[in-house]
Amino acid sequence: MNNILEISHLNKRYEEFLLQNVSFSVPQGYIMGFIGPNGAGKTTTIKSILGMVYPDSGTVKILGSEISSENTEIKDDIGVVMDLPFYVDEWKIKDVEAAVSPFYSRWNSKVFADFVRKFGLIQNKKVKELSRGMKVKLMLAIALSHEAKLLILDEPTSGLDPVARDELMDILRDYMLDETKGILFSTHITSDLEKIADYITFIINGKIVFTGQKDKLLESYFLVKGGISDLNSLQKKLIIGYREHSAGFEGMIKAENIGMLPENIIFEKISLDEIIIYMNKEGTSHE
Amino acid sequence: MKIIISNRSATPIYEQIKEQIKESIYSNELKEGEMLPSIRQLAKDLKISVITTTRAYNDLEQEGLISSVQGKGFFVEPKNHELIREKALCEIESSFATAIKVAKMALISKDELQIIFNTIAKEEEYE
Amino acid sequence: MSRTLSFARLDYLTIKPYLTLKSMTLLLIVIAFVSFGTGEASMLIGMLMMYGTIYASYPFAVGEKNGIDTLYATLPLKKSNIVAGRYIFAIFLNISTGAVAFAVSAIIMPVLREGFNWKETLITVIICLFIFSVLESIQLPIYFKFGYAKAKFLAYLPLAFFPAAVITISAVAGKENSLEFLNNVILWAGENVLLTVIIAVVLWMLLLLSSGLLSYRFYKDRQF
Repeated sequence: MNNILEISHLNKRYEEFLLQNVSFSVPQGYIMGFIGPNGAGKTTTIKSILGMVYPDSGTVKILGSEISSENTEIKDDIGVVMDLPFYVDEWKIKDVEAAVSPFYSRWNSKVFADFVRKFGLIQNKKVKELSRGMKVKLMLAIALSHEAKLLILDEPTSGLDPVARDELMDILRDYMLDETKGILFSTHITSDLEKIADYITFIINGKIVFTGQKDKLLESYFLVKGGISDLNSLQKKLIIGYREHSAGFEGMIKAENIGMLPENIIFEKISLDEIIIYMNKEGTSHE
Repeated sequence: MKIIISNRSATPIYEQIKEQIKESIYSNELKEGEMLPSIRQLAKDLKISVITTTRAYNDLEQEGLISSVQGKGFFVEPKNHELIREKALCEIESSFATAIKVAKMALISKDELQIIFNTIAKEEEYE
Repeated sequence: MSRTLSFARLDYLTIKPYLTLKSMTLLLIVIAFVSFGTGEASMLIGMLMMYGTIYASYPFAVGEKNGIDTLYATLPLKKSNIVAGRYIFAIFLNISTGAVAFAVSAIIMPVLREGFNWKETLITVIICLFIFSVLESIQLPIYFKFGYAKAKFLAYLPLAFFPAAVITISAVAGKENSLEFLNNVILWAGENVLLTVIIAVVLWMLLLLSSGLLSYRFYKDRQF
């Protein structure tokens, strides 16, 4: 299987933050969800991919070619959507097209016009006059109009209502009908990924704690609930993010450890959100 | 073909897809040689991930119900009647076993059980 | 090269929304005021070309306000394309405001004074072009290093030094030796026009080139 994006051993030191040995890959034909709490290092990783920050060490390869400040040809194959638009506020939509289209070797005006129409954008409107959802759609229209092979989405849904989010998901599904494409989808709203993502990379405090198939991640943990007296101290140690309250305890457990707990404990299917919450609790409680 | 996915069900999604495609094949709704929707199309339509769909199709292929033709897609295999009969017998046996177990617990006699069987058979027009 | 030119065009598009009727009208009022007040073509030309120089910093100002460095990062653009493109845009802006200044002088001066000396006007435009090129050669690297918001104050410092420089130069020129030297230079230039032009153009290009290289070094290390 070919990787459309390959990040290996990325390190970046800031005064108050450290990106540590970040490695993961997006296989061609699939959607990689990139999750983690705010400030975990998602944006720094994406900025490294785009060459906006220089990592202290490590490499980023897109379709096999390594990216650097002077090797930017490969960006012809990338479409980027961020939570906020990066166009001049006063630009009209046609100005945005005029500004970016000369840089792409496969720019297709007709495709762009179709997206503009489909998304309900109006050519004569200024960027600043667009709603949050419309701004995201504008970035998406640009990203989809030059035959990009890799889409990089950084928190695209953070300001969107459920309807706009659902529309975005539909567009991404359409895009993925072509198996040569790939998406890196960074978000802290995991419900977006719960269904659509094939793979998940999970980052906490600048370190990757999981990267692999989403189904495997969701199968490898369970939610546990029970009475405080149900567990002995050894069993308690198996619980990730163990938390006691007046009427019992709750936490997360690895699937392989289920057999070690007494039978009266309740196990439930876990969600990505819950995994983040418990992993994060565990991460901070060790510090 | 009809596939309805429940995200709230305890059954994994790939399992749900598998079972429903199987049913469609058994009930002859999906006929021999018919092409299934492509993995990516089905993933899109059901709003699920490609990997989940792939897993369901792969399992069905392994069980010999469908086969993939390189570059074309997935097709329903000729029905293996022996296999279907085997599977049906298996299901019948286990259903009867359950019925007998319940009858024993409730102290219902074998004759009574037979009467129930006959009544239902008549109702279902099973002669 | 085509990416560099496309980038220069992107810079133009960046400031285009600010080339409004309002700002142009304001500019016209200033022109009218200056020309009728002083009746001097050189003042008029200087003012107009000063406007060009101010607009040359607009891509930094407008871009920074709109997070445009992210846009650059999404495009297949090298940092060298960006720096070179911006210099081309600045030079284009200077030359076109110079042309406008020449044209405006040609229209207004015959009305204000008895005539229009095209040779004198052209020389004034070229000298202004030179002066503002020096100013921009200092400003652009500062903007590339620090970004607009941080560099705004710093970048206009050279402007404050200009009067000081003029005073110093005239003081030095006032001395008899240097006056003689200056006279000789002017005399020589008058006799060797072609060579003078070549030397001036070469100096101008060297200035821009070294400034551009400095800008590139600064901008290459910049992270966002």
